[in-house]
Amino acid sequence: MGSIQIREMYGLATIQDFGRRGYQAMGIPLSGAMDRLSMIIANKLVGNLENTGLIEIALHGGTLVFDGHTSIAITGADFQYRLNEIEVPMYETIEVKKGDVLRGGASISGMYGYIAVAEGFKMECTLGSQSTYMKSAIGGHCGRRLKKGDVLTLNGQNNRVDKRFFRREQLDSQSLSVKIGVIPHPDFEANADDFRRYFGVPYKIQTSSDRMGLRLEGEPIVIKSGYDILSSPVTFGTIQVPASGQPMVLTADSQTTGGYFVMGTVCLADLSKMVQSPYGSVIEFELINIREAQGRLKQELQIVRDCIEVSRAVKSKEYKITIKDHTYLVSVEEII
Amino acid sequence: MIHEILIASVNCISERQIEIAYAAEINIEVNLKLHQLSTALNERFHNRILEIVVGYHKLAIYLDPYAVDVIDLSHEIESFLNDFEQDQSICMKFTGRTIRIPVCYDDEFALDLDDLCLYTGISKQEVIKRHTSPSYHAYMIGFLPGFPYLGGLDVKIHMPRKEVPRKSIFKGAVGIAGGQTGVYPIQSPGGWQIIGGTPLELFDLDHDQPSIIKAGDSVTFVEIDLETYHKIKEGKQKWEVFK
Repeated sequence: MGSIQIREMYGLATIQDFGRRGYQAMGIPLSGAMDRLSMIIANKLVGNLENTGLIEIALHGGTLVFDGHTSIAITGADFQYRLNEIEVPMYETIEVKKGDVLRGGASISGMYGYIAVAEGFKMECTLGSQSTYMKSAIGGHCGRRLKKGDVLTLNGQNNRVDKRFFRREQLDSQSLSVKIGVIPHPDFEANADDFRRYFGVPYKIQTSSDRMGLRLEGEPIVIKSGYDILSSPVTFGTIQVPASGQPMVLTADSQTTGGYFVMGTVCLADLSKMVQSPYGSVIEFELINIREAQGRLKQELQIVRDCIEVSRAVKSKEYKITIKDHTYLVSVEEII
Repeated sequence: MIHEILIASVNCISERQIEIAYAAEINIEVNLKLHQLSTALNERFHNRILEIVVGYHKLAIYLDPYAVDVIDLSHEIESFLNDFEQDQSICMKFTGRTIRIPVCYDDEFALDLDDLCLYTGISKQEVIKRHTSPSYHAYMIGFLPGFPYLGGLDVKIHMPRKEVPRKSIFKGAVGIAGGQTGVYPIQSPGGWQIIGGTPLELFDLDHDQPSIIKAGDSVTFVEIDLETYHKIKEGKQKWEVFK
């Protein structure tokens, strides 16, 4: 059985899949990957089912040593990974051999990076999912973040999958201000002082943001009926407004019930780009309706389906090319 | 006798969530109705609903937006709710279970009991008597895995949350906050006034139903001594959880 050893890990690294479904009524959050889209793409690039558990790392990559021959794919935040000290590309299948060392540094774009491995990890599912919920030590690798010395057993051995590429230019490019589609809650429309004025205005992402939620700062939201409500169900994407008037978007590890006023919900399709927005960057809420939200999901499905290309390589050769002190690993394939 | 018909609103909160809401209040009958509605909805729409979570006066229906059109489903649910409301045979009486929680009110665990006695002006023995007498309704489970929101606390032992929350409250701590009482199933920061501790594992991953207390259950606290606490904790004595 192959394995991955964690030689170093600086960022918050956990095993995640789509999340834990069916237990929110018991107070167990969904958890799961913060950036669902990057997770789906990473898994598809190594021929996995979309929901296969993978490694999520926040802010800073680490060093992984492979004990086995397999295929991996890297998506999401760019930790400038090097495989055996040679830069490796993101968004394509990479073959790794026994003894290979993957080393990453601080993120140069995005917050959450993903590494998928062909056939995933040999890990028990807890309550139906491999996702990690650290607060209750549920799931993943021993219910906690990954640290130096951890060994993750892989399901597969000697896995080599067909090489695939994802044409990432199709993804929304980061503009100066990221627009996030929000469906307003009926109570917000009724109780805010002119609810429309909180759309299209900047909210800055605070450094206190984490897997529980994105804390924002901007124009304080005024709720005439008050900020405390009787505890009600909330989930990944719910936007709460506490007494400060500063909104908070709940994410993967958020509580399942909340006592703060709810202004609306971020549409599923926009959650990925939202969570990847770095600290200090600015987002804007965009007022949308249900049909628009559904439309964005359809678009996303289309992008994922259309952009995964399987290279029908007949012959391939690998070259190490050094240009101006940067060494590149180049794979040349004849496509038929 | 006028039979009050409770009016609920059905709203598509997002492309993946429907909300059914009654008037905002802590009302045991409304909450019982929501729990029964949740069971009925899960039965009727089981292949189109992912899960349902019940709050004090609202419930959320979560669905897969790739597989289900939320607007179409909400119309069907409106019809279903109409029939459900009209069905006089559905009794708004308690149909859940009664869970007995053993609690040791010894000094070791009753971190804030002295403060509570000072605040309320009643003795320790009386606080314990008033805490163990009622049967509490578990309105919902939330905040932490397995954490029950219990209503029905005797007004004489209400006390506001601590101004400065503790960074860590021990697992099994039994507390009071405002008009609520509850138990911390795991160690956690929190602002509740702690008056005792339970040796029972309220949340156990090895069980099919990891949370002992389910929303809609009734809960009673039973006073035990320190010796019994340790015996139960060490597995030397069995505790009858269900009445």
